[in-house]
Amino acid sequence: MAEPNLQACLRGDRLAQKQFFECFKGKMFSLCLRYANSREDAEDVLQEGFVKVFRDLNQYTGMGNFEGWVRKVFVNTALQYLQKQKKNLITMELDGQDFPDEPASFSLDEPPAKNMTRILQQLPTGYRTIFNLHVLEGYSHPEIAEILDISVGTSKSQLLRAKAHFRKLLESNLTT
Amino acid sequence: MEENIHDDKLDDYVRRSFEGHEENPPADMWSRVEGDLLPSVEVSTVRALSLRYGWQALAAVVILVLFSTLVCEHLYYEKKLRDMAEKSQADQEILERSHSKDEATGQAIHANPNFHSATELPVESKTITFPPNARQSANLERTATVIPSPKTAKEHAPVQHLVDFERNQGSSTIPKSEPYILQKPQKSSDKTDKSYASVGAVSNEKPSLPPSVETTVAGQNTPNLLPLTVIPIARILLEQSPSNSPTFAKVSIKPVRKPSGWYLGLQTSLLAIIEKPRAPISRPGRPAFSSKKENAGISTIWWLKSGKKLDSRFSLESGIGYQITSRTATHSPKFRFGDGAHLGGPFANRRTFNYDLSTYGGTAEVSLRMEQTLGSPAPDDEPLSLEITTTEYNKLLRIPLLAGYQLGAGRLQGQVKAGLMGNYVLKNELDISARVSQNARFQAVGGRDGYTVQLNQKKFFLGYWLSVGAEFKLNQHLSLVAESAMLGDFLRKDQHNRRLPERFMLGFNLGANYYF
Repeated sequence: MAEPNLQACLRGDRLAQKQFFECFKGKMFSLCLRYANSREDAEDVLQEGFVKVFRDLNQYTGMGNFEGWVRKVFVNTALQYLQKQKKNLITMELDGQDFPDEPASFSLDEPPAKNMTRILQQLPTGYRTIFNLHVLEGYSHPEIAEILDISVGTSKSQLLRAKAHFRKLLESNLTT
Repeated sequence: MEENIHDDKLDDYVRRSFEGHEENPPADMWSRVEGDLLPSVEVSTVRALSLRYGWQALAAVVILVLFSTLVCEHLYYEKKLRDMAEKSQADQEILERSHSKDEATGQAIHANPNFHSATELPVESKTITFPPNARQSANLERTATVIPSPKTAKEHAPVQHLVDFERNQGSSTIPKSEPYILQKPQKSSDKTDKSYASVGAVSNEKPSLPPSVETTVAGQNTPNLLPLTVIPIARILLEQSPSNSPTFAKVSIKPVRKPSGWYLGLQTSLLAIIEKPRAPISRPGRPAFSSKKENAGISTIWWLKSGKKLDSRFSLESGIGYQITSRTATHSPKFRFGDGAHLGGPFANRRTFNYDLSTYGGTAEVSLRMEQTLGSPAPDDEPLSLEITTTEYNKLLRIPLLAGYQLGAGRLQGQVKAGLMGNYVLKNELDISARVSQNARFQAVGGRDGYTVQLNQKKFFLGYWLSVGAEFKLNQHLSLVAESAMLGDFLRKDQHNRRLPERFMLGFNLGANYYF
């Protein structure tokens, strides 16, 4: 696929923007699915993320990997979305101990990423967020602590618990 | 160490699983994104900004418009005043020149016993002197000064009368096209207070019967001299002359500023909220409860107002108000344990109870998680009664449009105002601060910790304003306002079109107005 023309995107060229969208939509939707509670939420995050990318494209200074910058925008969008949702949600996950009603449907015929996404979506939001940030995005604990406005110790302990839950869910899904 | 190795393997496994993975979004995703970008990126930014800072922008625009109007008004009247002052200054200079010439010529004329007619005077002096040896007694010795008047002769019939008289007398000092005001100086022989405030003013010597010009000149009974009102927007100050010679009044004219009628006010309202409860309407599978107010529900509104006096009685007023309301209430939802939705998994002892809470600020969709405490499993028909404390935080922008009616006159005036108010909801949140189960077998998940719920209410709604009070004018510009007020909201609905409790506020407004 051809490289998207950033200057044209900046000018608001619709064709260039569509090209840009086609280039990143798959990767970014995969990212959104990992953070969101459901596919519908992930679609909302994806939509909002692209709008933000086009809006803030002029803030990309050319330093560093462009895809990394786009990912960062999408991660921030997902975190903001979850924060907003948490505010609107009636229930609060105070300790992240809530489990979903049904076990995830794990299929060996599907790509492992799809199964992993399903398991991730079953994790409580707090655990899932820290797991995503640390394991898949590579953020350090101090960075996570700053992003989520929590202490480094909390970040570490939450990650341990998240991994334990993830492993448990993975094992239970593999055995069923 | 073993755990870490285990963790690393898990991390690697997950990372590898997601490597290069792409998931296709729905086919219409681009059109959704494009819809948000339309018509261009810049416009979407503007839209996003307007959504984010909408009310601030609205407030800023209103304030800017009010401020600009007032500044323009102020500048306009300043200019008008300057022009008037300049004109006045010019008139004053002419008068002073005339005065000094009159002093010189008046002396000479007065000393000349053969002088009979004003026609012999220089035209520039515009002075008519009547010698003491005329047909009348010495007491009637008078000097008349003719001053150009800003008003037309038609507006001032007495002036016209005098002009006609002078013309009849054949005086060439008064051009036929120019109206004049005739002014009398004091009597030359008396140095005490013998000034004439204006043409037709009463002298100290004969306060009850001022001599008229025609009496002075012809010794006949003729109409009185000009009243003070002949010279509008002017203050005439008379000065005593130190000499014995006939003196002339020094006239100082200062323009009186006509009030523009515009004013700017800052007010605060302290209001008690009174609401009429409404039976909550349940939705299928979702019972509804209403809250009982606990605190007095006092609210404060800060107003920036601007208005215009249309005439001595009626006025129009508008502005912007910022209201903050905090209100604590309780409600007591009642369920059976079986009404709650199962959470499943290891938390079979937990249930979620969903219901709607109808409150002052709107409808909250509440979902409570309750769990069973130690003991044998609770049957589904076990009653679950809760006592929940909530605190509402409302922030509103209120924009009134009021018609006012002034009662009475003087510094203290009564006023009645009534009108409509547009209201815009800025913040409408409900904090659930305590959840206590009346049944010891159950407890709230997460203990007594609270959380915040958004209240559903349509963002814009209409209200009304009615106030009765008084305004005390401290001076020409500043006044204090105190009034009792009743503010209310018309029909409000939540997002499911259910009517919200009716409410109105009673209290008082205090503030100050500045008139331009």
